[in-house]
Amino acid sequence: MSDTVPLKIVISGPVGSGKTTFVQSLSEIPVVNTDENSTENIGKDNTTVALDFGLLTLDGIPIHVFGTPGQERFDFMWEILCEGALGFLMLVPGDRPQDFSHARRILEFITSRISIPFLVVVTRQDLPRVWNPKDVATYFKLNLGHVMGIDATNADSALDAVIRLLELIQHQSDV
Amino acid sequence: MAIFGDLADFPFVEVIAMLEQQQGVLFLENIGRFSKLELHLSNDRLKRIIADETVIYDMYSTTNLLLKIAHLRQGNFEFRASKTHTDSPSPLNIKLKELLLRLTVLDDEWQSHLADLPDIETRFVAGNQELIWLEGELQTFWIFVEPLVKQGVTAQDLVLRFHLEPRSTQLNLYKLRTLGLIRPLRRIEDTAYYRQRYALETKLAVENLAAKVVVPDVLLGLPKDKIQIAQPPSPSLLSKLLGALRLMRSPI
Repeated sequence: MSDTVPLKIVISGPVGSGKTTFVQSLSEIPVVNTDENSTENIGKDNTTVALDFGLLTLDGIPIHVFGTPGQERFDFMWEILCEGALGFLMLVPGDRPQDFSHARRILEFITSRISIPFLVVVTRQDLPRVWNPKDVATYFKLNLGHVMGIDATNADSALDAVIRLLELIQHQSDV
Repeated sequence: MAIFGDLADFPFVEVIAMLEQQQGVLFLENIGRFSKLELHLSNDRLKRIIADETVIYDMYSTTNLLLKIAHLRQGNFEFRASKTHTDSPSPLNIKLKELLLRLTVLDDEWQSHLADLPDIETRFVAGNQELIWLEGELQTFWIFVEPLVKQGVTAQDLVLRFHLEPRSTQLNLYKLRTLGLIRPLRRIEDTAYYRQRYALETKLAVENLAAKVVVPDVLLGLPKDKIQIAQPPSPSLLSKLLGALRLMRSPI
């Protein structure tokens, strides 16, 4: 991969998993998003219908951060956005186990079709009643190294997730 | 007696239920890719299916075909009662009550697992679980797909290549995944692993250290453009990015 090609990280997850918040936490520019009023009952008033876009510059190197829409009917976007990406973060709301199967469906669809490094990020770890990463790893049948817990509203927590993703890429490159 | 109609208005399960006590042949026309189907019924049982002049012998294809007919809800039917049957032995002997139960249960089962089912394009490979006891239809499905999962298979492959009924195919893959007999392919890890193994085997073969090179099944089963592993960023770039990220992060 040429060092001059813009790098890209993709954030995905079910509706309400905190993708927009996560992109906002990472981005140094106001996040370009396409939120619209929900036309169906998805548990909140607004939702992302195309994508969120943020920018993170690391040592002068721009990283484009894309958040995908969470609704199933936009699944064609997942593959397009993941093509050529540095890595893929799957956000799973730890307080909403009812959304796990949807998250697993997205993750398995993408990772079985595209050769892309990935990390499952369990959000809402600041809440008292929340699944921990170890149990989520068991549900997804993943090594614990591929799963971590964060609070998406906290910028440091979001940075930790990107650090872990890059460490995974580094490890996979070494193998 | 004339029993006929359009399956769009008259569900197939109800046609079967109505014919439970009848003996004769149910003719179906324009069902999916089949222009003509014959279902020979006798003594509460389905004894024979002829699909475009081909007799279907195995239970799995039969069940799939019947599920498809029930699901498609298209084509015409006409039942012709007859007392006599061909002298050749019947390839099938399925109780119509069991068939009805299977057809009606599948819809409920599929609906109840809808949110959990894998995407139709998710590719599965063999899992690590040793073979365990499976109930009838799942066992038949497993025997059918086991050789295919060695090279990776999706529900869509099975539907398109073998004309299986999509809902039952997704459901059966889901069940096999839950039991650990199959697992989703992780392209980043699996293809890297197989490529490494292939490269090593090739090297050994070149050096006459191994008798033959075994091309990994997973690589054989995938279109070439799909097995390309994106080049990871260079180690220096990765270190640079990680260094900058760690600096940005507040000290713990």
